[in-house]
Amino acid sequence: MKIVVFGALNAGKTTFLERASKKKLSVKGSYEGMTTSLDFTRLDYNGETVYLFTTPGHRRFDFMWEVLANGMRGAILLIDSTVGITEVDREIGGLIESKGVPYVVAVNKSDLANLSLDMVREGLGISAKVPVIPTSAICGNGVDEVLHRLMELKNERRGTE
Amino acid sequence: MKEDIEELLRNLKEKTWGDILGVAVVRPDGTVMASALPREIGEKRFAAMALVVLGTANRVCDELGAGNMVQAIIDGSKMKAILMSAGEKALLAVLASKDANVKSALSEMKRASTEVKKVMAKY
Repeated sequence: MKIVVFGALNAGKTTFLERASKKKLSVKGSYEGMTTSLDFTRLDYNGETVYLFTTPGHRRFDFMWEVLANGMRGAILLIDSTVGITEVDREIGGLIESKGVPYVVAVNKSDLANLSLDMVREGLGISAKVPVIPTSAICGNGVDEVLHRLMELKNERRGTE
Repeated sequence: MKEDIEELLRNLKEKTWGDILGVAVVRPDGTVMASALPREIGEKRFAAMALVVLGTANRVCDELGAGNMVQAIIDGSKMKAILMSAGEKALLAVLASKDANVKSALSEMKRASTEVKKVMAKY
């Protein structure tokens, strides 16, 4: 199953990927901490193989958001809580919504800033059904919960299909 | 430095007798260092796409254990794009005609890539 981790520049997507898969990425598609192509890893979730991708966050590479969204079965939108909701976040949120896949919003760097989850929900204009979870990819807080909630949403949807 | 590289790019186009339609040297963050591209090609978009393709090709080589990535060639029905690294600080991206002699273009690109590395080492 393909899951894509979206987010603006420096939101912590690659670190999130490493934390979620419990693997250090040997080769990153990056330059000075900025992902310039894509990062990819595999993980096992209760016997199901999950293919986890990250997108570049810089608007220069925005064409890759659509490319990587192709065929995804779920998404994670990472918000940098030290920055707040940006236009890029709203744009990516709109893209994910348009794909009609289950997704979770992870309010990352929660160890550094305390961004109100209600403000995140309001800033992105998302329904109460979308889980918004504080995370710290660096410390590991909330990362497993994000994956767990996303898989739950996916299974709920599968049950209603 | 920009002037030196622009001259290298002009030479590369001249030596390939019309096979090479456009060329750009791109920094590792996806910005353009120098270019000589057809007017209808968006320089910023081309640079970002070239970097993504080269980065992804690198990942593919790594995942498959295919060794170091040498070059990436996109063979379109109307045009070709040929991409190669020019050291750690730049990549060379070329647009070639659909009937271009790829062997000759690659040979000139390798030469130009070495020159780009030399110019960049000076600064």
